Amino acid sequence: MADQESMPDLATVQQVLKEAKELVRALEGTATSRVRISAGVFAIEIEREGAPIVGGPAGVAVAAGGGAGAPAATPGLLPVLAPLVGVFYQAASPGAKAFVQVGDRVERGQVIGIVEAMKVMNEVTSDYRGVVSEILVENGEAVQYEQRLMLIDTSGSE
Amino acid sequence: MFKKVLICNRGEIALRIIRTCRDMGIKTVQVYSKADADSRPVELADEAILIGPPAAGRSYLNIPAIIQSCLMTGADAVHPGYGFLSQDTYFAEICRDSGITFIGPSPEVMEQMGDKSSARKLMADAGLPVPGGTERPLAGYDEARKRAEEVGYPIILKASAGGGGRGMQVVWERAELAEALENVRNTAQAVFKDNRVYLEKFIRSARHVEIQVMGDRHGNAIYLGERDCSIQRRQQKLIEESPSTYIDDDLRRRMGEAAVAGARAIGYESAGTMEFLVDPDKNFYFMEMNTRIQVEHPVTEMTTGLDLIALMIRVAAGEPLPLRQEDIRPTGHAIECRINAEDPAKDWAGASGTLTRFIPPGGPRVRVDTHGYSGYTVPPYYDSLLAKVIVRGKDREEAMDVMLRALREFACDGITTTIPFHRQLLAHPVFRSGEYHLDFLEKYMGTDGNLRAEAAD
Repeated sequence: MADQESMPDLATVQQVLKEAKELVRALEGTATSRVRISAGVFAIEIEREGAPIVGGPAGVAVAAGGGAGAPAATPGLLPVLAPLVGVFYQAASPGAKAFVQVGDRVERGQVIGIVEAMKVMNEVTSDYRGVVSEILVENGEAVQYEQRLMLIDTSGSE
Repeated sequence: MFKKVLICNRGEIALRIIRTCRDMGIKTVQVYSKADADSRPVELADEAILIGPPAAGRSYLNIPAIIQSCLMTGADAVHPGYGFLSQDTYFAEICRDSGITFIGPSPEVMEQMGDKSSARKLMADAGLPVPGGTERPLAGYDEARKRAEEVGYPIILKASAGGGGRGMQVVWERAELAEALENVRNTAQAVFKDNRVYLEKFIRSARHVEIQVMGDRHGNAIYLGERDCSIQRRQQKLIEESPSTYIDDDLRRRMGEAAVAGARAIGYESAGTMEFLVDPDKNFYFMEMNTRIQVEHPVTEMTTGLDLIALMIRVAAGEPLPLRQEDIRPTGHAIECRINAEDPAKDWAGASGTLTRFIPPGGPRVRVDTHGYSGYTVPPYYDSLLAKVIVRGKDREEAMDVMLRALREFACDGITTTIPFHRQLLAHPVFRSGEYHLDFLEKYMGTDGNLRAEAAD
């Protein structure tokens, strides 16, 4: 087939992959969340979850063009994302104590809230160890998939 | 009438539904996956909700997320488009239980017609002609051999639960039967989790002619003419047109009346399509019913001047059909080419990538339904349909010429599409003559993906 000629050979592919790995390391601690490099038929896309972000305007409303927030610049401030579409609650039941509040220390895997969908309560856990810096959505607010719920300040944690 | 319709589909059909909703003054909610964040439906709907990752199982097939999105936005109806959840009985039931109108037929009717053998029996009982054979599942090879001899070879083995062209195999002679039965049974079990297989007479040198029907909840049902979809590769349609060059007015009326009789027999209350095969002796046979809007519905919209999505929404809201059979007077000739992100030279392998330049055709008698735009990246996760070019002429000759003009204008760089294939097809003497059958591509397409004038042996 004619198009075989434009396909890069194995050595080239391996070289590109090696450089891509170095690039990922170089991106650590920067505000970049998405990189796309293309050359001919070959393209590499790197998307990093939990890239550092600033607090910025709270939450993304359920409206056109929502979704994951824009990357920005405070190192160590990482978002907890909604694992599914539903209604966010800060406590296990109405009147109960909130799972976490601003200023609380959280461990990786700790429950920080719940998202209710179709009457099923889904626990949301923190992917990071740190301090709750900001809660971006109201109790009882509808959230989209991967909407930012909270910011965790990981700068003091190793 | 509904206040807000949620669209649980993507691509051109999502856009198509949003447009009609806007015309009708109905608000829209577009649910989408992460792969479609930059898509036109997400941009154009009144609201959009990200419901999951690219994998369809966790987004466009994610029933809890879709229902939850309806509840959160106050959508009182969902339009499923085609594919994805459009023929999912379970989804239609959950919508009903949640107080959301599923814009389509009832789950009971969907279930009856979704099973090929059940559909065949119901339509035969309603008086529609079906190919020789029976829908009873085959117990094993011995029974298959006996029944194949009764109806006579060639026969076709079909998975009762099959669909989308999968789970079917033609058997030309007894020597091939055992292996074919094994194949179809394995596919049926693996793909549809149901190993029931039946056989019927295979209709040779046939044309695929389907009838668009429309029913409501008040017992009305009408037909809106036919579409000829005989140029196919592996049961996938590539081009559709209306009227068919293969049938005359008498057969057209008899097929339409049969389709309506079938729709009435099951209390069909939405847009649907009865698919038939027509043999060279002009006998027609019921194949299956598609209980949803189809990709090729604009062909019928071009010849009738109707908006099928609007009619679907109206009858789903409980309104009676605003038309009687005598109001339906198709005129002219319409053709639709499916522009897929596929490479015919590589066995129609799907292509994904960025459209570096995308300029669809326009001008008189041309309609283009597409979600593509310059800079849009076609994701690798979904159906390859990128655009539908639909044209209208006073007759077939004029329609074909308008289509050629449109395809010449269509600039689409960055990924491989079926535009060059369609340019060849519209210029092919056999296609232009109208004298061909379902085996057209087998006969006239080379392994390099190009059409040739003379048939292969």
